[in-house]
Amino acid sequence: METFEEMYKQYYQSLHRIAQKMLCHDEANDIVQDVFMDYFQKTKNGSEIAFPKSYLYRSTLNKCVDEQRKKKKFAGNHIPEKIHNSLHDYEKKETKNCIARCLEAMDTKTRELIVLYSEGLSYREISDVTGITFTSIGKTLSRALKKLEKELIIKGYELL
Amino acid sequence: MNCFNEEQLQQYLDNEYGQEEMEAIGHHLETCLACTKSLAQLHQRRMLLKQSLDLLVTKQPAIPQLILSKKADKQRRFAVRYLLPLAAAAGLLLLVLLQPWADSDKTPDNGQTLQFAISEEVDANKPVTDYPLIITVVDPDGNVTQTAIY
Repeated sequence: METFEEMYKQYYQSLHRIAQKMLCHDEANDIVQDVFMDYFQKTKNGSEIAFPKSYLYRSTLNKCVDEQRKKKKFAGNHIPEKIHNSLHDYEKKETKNCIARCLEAMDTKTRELIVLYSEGLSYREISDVTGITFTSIGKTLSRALKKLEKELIIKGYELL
Repeated sequence: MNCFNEEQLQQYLDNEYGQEEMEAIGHHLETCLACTKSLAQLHQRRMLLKQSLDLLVTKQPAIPQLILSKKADKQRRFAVRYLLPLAAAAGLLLLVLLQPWADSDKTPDNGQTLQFAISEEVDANKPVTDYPLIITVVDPDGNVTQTAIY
């Protein structure tokens, strides 16, 4: 059994990447810290977590969904964006926004599936985290990737 | 052998089949141009989608020091901000709700009330024991009885 510190070191960066992909803004640090804090409190109180890795991934995704809801709630309160230093920065930002919009256009389950897949999780691990049955991961994933590809083309992002 | 559909090829690409199935698909791919083409497209799609999603990751952070007291601070702040005012409001409400019963407890069962008042001027320099304690009782019929205690 891994210690808490070992788990923190092993999963921090992967969870951080997932949070960034899910949220597309800079809340990832707080999200991941909260995830580990909750995990620490839970295990400290004597709760036994059978599958810590799945728990951490699930918890990160849940917090990202909560954060997105909050973000939507305060969508009117725009913070002025900083002026881009160069055309390259601007284009990079635009590309990022385009991909983010495509992901946002999909339902939460599909988005989670794609993000976990992009992080290299196996079908079994994706099934454990998302709750989608193992046997239907292949089909669901295939459809989800197709959908994202279509969405990216519609939004004008060039894959090639 | 029949050709494989997209889902099956995706699973093959992701190495999610058992050894036997992987070999069977592999053999088929050696002879089927259509499936090989589909697989190449899926491979390209997977690579490009992963690259696109990686653009959303702006930075790969160094693992920060975990501050375990942060949660406790958060809980304390939550308690000060929300729980204390709530507890105070609940206390006040309880006081207001319980007031009628508290008053009714003071009323004797036979309907008599007990009142007190200071009816004469007192010298603050004298001890209170130097003054007589006069008890005036008015019963429900209006009869007045006075008792002085020295």
